Amino acid sequence: MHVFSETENRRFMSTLQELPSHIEYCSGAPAKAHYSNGKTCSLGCLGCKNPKCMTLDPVDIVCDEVVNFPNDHSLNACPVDAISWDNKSDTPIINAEKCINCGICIRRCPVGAIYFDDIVKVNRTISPCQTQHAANNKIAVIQSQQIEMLDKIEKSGIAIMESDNLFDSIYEKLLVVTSSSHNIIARNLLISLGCKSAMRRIGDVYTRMDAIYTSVDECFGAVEVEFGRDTLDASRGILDDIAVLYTRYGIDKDENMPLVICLQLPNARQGYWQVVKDVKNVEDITISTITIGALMLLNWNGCLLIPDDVTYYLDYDNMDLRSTIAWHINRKIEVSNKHLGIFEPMK
Amino acid sequence: MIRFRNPGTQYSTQIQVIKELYTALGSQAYFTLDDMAVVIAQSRLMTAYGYAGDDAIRLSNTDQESMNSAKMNAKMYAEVFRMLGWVTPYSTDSSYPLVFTYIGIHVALSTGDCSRLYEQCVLGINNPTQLTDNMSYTEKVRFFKCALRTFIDLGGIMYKHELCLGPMSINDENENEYQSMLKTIRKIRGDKQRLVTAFSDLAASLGMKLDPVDNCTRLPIAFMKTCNWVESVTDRTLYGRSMSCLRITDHGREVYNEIKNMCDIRLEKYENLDENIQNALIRLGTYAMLQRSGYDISSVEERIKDDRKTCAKVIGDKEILFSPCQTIRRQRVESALGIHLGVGSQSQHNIDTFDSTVSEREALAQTHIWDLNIPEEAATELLTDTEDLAFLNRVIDLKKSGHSSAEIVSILFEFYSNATQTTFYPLIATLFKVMGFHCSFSRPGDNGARWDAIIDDPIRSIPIEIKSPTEEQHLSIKAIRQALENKIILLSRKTHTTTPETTTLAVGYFMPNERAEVSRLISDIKATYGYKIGIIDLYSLLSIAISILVEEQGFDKEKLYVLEGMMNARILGNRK
Repeated sequence: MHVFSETENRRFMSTLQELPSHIEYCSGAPAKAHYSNGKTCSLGCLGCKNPKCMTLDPVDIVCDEVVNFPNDHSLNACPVDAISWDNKSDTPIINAEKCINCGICIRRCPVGAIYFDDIVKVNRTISPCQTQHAANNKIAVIQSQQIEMLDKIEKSGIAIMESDNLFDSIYEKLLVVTSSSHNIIARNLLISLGCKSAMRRIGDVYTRMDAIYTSVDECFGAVEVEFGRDTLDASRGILDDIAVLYTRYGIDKDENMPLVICLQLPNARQGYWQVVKDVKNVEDITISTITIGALMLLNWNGCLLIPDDVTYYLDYDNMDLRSTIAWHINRKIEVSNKHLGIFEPMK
Repeated sequence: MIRFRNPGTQYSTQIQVIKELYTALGSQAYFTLDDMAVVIAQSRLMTAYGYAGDDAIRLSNTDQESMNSAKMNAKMYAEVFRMLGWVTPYSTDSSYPLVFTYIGIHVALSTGDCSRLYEQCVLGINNPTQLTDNMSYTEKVRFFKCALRTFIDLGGIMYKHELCLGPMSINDENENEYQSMLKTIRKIRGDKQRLVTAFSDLAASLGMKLDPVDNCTRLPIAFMKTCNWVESVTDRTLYGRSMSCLRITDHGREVYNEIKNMCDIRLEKYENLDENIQNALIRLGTYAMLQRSGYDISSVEERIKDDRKTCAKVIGDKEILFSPCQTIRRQRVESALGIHLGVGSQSQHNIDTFDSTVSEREALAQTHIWDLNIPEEAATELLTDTEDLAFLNRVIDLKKSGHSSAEIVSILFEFYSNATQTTFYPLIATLFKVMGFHCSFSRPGDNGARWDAIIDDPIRSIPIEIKSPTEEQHLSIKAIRQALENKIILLSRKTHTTTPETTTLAVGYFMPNERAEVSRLISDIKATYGYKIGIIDLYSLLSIAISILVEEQGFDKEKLYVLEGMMNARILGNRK
């Protein structure tokens, strides 16, 4: 039986004439590729055969600690399906209406051809440092080898510069995004920040936790994602998750570094903060708390997420996420105090 | 009206499932629902009671097939995949077992984004087919093509019930019928009551209730949204009030414009053609679907040219819209394509080989039964609050009226069936007081107090999480989580003296519906944190309290301090 192969309608593909030594992200413009001879240029979309900006690596959606976790197998890099392949231009195309500016596709593009300039755009201009070819298997192999090497080169700079206005527009979308997108937004951001993360399948009510993660330094933990106001439900959920992970998968509670990912930090008077402190007091379990906005900011700045006993631990005595994130990005955060409850509670 | 079933509609899961099924079962001659269930569970695409893999199969394995969630899950996917033409019956005389179709194999082996082939398969859904005997409807329609046309002709927006009244209920090749359908819907529009009446009349004419008819729109809407043909909008223009409607997208319009002039081959037309033309159409239809989905079919270009010549009288120079795998029996499709599917090893998986653990699961959910046989007087000295005295008086009145203890319990249980937190919290505190425990409740809305009531004991205080019947009739996982949180808070804040070994309670109107799930969580919590969580329902608490008040019989109070799991106490007989 002859099974036809998918052409993906690719007519052209690009390769680089020479590999840059370093890629520098720029908010408002395509990234700059720096070469060892001092030359710089902005590289256009390579038209990758397997576009990383659109698809996650299957190994990133499985955590080795719990290989039997009944995870969602979706490999879509964009959590809101805003990116698709445009056969006319042989490049990805971003639907600005759907896009939440999370920056995942920007960070995944091997040459920094996806960039933010009010909206997320794709640089389709082929630079003098690259060569466009008619698509064929030989070129695809060369391109894939180059992409593998590009993954290893240094990357710096800020992909998206934060501001109150930017977060306003992002949160306006996040507040109305369908609930089925919440977990995948959190999972894909964790993966973009260097973690492996497996999330529960949509509709699976028996797998208690929303997701699990393993960070680059092999910290493992349960994840509860809470886009609503009931953050207490998240801390209760974490206790439940730890119990289930222990009895079903043998993960000792001392080896579990749980993470609550919320849209906004709970208000200072909410019971959540005291309960997190109680759990730490009585069970010595450190529940880390981080917001989607903070995860995005880390992602825009090319950081990794490595939860431990102290870094993202917030409680009744300390609800300040700002100083932790500022330390990570090594600069002041250009977002007003209490704005949207991203870096400190709104009230 | 076409009855679309209401199975799983998540595109990404459908793709994951077909890929796993083909990887595991592609070498078998055919596969059964058991094969599917085992593969889906082993690839962790279903869970049962939180367990994946073989454990999920064991836990869902029951004597009653319709109660076997793994098998029912497999059946749901089989139905969707059959509709999409990815699987088809192995033989001509029964619906099962199944084989993968040529198109299904392409979906399963797709390494890229197979959304375009998925779109072609959705467009391929048409009625009637050789694969759908004994249907309860007779409409001849390529539903999604007709639906897109209807959207465009009705101004781009439709309410879901208009799909039932419109494209699901017509023969779309009859232009008069189509135009008359448009006219009818336009007439209905402008007045919500007219829509309600028309929809009710439709349901009555089908002999169906309203909800099942409404449910028939779920799958087609999910298909259309997955293909990005329609999107949800709130609209006031159709019926003068705000309603959640569907609006055709630009892509939806583009798709209709691409297919509207194609040569649309339906079963009736196909069956009236010579065999050589039928074979050519099968090849043309299949290759066209793949080509439109981005597959490189250059290796069969010559064959296509020849087939187009063979079919020239039927299709002219038009592109063809025909999905053989969704319309024709597989034997003919395979013969025309020169392939032979349905060969290979025998079916390999059988759910019966997995030992059922249902009894194990049910054993977990066993309830402690407490005997009410220890002489005990009511702790009336604790009954000082207004609520306590009112309860006491009600019991005395019922007793004076000649009711037995069991009757008093039943009457009171019924009386509190709609109690809110304001009534229910004090009631629970009163009942514990009757038993001799110092119990106080938190006023509803007091956010400072984390538990709803607490048994204040010099050494072993017990926090109580209460769910009134108006919050949730049956206790749930949520209450168990809160009981655990209460225990941790009490140990941390030390507002009352307690020990880690003392229980923490959840009290509700009824015991949990999902007893196995709740019991498992209680045992998970004990294993992980070492805390005991006890559950008591109102009927048991009333039984104990009335037994003490009326018959001066109680229970071993020590048992409450160490309660773990569900507790039941019933007054037996009809003692007066």
